[in-house]
Amino acid sequence: MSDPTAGRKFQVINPPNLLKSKIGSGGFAMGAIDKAAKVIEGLRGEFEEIAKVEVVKLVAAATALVAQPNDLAKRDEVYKIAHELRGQGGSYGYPLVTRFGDQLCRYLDAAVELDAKSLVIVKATADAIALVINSKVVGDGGDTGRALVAMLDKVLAQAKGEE
Amino acid sequence: MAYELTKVRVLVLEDNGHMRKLLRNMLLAVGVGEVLDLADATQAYIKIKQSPVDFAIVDWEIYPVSGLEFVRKIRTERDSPNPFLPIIMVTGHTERERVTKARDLGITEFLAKPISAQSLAQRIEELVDRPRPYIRTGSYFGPCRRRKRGGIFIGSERRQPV
Repeated sequence: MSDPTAGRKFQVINPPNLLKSKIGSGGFAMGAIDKAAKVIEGLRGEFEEIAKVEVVKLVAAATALVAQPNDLAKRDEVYKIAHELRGQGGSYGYPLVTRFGDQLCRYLDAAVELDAKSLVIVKATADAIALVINSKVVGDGGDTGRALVAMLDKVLAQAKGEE
Repeated sequence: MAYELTKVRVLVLEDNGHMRKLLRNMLLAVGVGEVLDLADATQAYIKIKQSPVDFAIVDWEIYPVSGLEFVRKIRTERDSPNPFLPIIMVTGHTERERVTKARDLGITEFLAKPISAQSLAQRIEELVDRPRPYIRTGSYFGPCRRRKRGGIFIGSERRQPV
């Protein structure tokens, strides 16, 4: 089998490390990273307020998508909200938001068309994200978290099993 | 001696207002002197031409052009303010093909959301202490995409010097 990259011409450039010249060595000052972590903690309440609004939009968009599965704008809306929430939930102690948001985005990425079974998954995942936010299910969520994970796994398995 | 960050100017290009605020405040908390935080990639390109930044944190999903297009412009446009600008791409898109796409356009580091203070600090340390050489081929210009282990590249050399 031929190697398509064999013989490729290239030039290596080592630009001066201007950033290091300016910053120096030795890593971050003691306590600097802790200060950044406190910034996250300080913005947690703001995230929770924003997330409460966003999950209302998410569930509404998912419900609208169930009614009109071929509406690409609604599908995009579900995706965008889930994408933002998955990107932030874990930073603020809501790893289940990131986990379920990731599941939803990956599912929408993979599904070409949304049939009835797909829509059950989309709606159930959106509802689960909303429940995590509204009930403040932080961390792994204990029994509630495990029940939610099991419920979504079951919905997914049932949908796959019927295919 | 620790990093002296007070003279450092950083661009944060992120369309989500809360995320932009988070990144800005975290950078200031670790000691960065100035943060230019913007949601608009076109505006950011103009601003950093007028007043340069030392590195950039760019989200994948920005407007009116994507984060990837912004990176491409920085690396390859004739009027680029700095083709060697260290760029951390921050995104919730962590699928392998997306990461590869970002690397192929010349990002320096990849920071997956959700971010933490530790993950952000680690990527900045990579920029400062472990910069990669730049590579120019017929189809690519940007930081070397080969990851080294222990300072030694693992694999066969398939390229030839120009």
